Amino acid sequence: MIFYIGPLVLGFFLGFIIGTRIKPSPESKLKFDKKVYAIVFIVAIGVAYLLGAFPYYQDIPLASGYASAIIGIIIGKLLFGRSKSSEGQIS
Amino acid sequence: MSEGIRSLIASISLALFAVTLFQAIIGFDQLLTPGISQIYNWIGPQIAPNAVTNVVFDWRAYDTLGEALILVTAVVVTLLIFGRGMVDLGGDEE
Amino acid sequence: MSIILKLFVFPISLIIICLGINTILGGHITPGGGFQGGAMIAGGLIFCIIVYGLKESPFKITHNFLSGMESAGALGYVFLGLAGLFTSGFFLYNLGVDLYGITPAVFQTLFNYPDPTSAGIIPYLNYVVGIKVMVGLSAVVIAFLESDKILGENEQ
Repeated sequence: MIFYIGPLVLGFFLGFIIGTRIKPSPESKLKFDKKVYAIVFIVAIGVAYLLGAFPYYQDIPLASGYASAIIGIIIGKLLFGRSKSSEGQIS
Repeated sequence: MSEGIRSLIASISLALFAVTLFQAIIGFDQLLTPGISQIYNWIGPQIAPNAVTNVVFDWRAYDTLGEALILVTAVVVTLLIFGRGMVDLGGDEE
Repeated sequence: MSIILKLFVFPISLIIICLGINTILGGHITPGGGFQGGAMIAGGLIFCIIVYGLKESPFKITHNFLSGMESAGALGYVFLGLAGLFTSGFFLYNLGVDLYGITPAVFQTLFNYPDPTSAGIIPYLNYVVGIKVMVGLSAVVIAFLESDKILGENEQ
């Protein structure tokens, strides 16, 4: 079966752009570490399965744009979401 | 003008307007013809399944460009008013 | 803001942002499209900014990011139209679905969205409009929240 790369590529790109904007704030009391992102990923895959695919798509039973968006957010945070000391990359 | 003549003129004009309006509505469905809608309904599903997206982004895409430029203008004007400390527009020193 | 709000708003806003991206991408099949999906993403970002405040919010949005993305969205729409103008004679001609058959077949395969439906450049137009609306609405809210500090400095 073939995968339609349109929603996969475009959803990943927009999620990546938003994921580069997540930066940790050092002086607050709340810490969002790796456990929170793992739980969010599992819940998002569950939501993508319950949403179902778009009407004419027959490749996978998930919502492909939703799954690639959450993967893009997490990869964007891991690659570019450093602390405030090195902010000169993408501003 | 006195009160009686004003109410008489108002009631006569209301009666004329009501007669004209109801005469345009009665027997309306014999006047309708589909026209261009048959062409749009035939060629629309060949482009995209959503008829609203066909009209807004394909056959009337130039109007959607105007809509997007309205949003740009609104954001620029809002940031100009509320960002007074950030932009130095010149002018006289206060 | 209470501790319960600060505990679960950030994961919920990630779910809302992904739902907005899904609405943008299905603009030619399902109800929705560029404007509606962009407003949903802006709703997720504004949720975080209001609950946490501008200083502690996880989404740090700078001025250069806002102006760059807004320009990218508006210019993308215009360049897609100019591509239609230079290959055929019409501005914003749907190059993926060649209704009149006046361009070479290279452009039809190049600008077509890889999809079971043959929608042409309509999903790309939805995408750039969604980017523009998301950044525009967030910029207005950030400007309103930052204006107290600037007006307070001017009055002294």
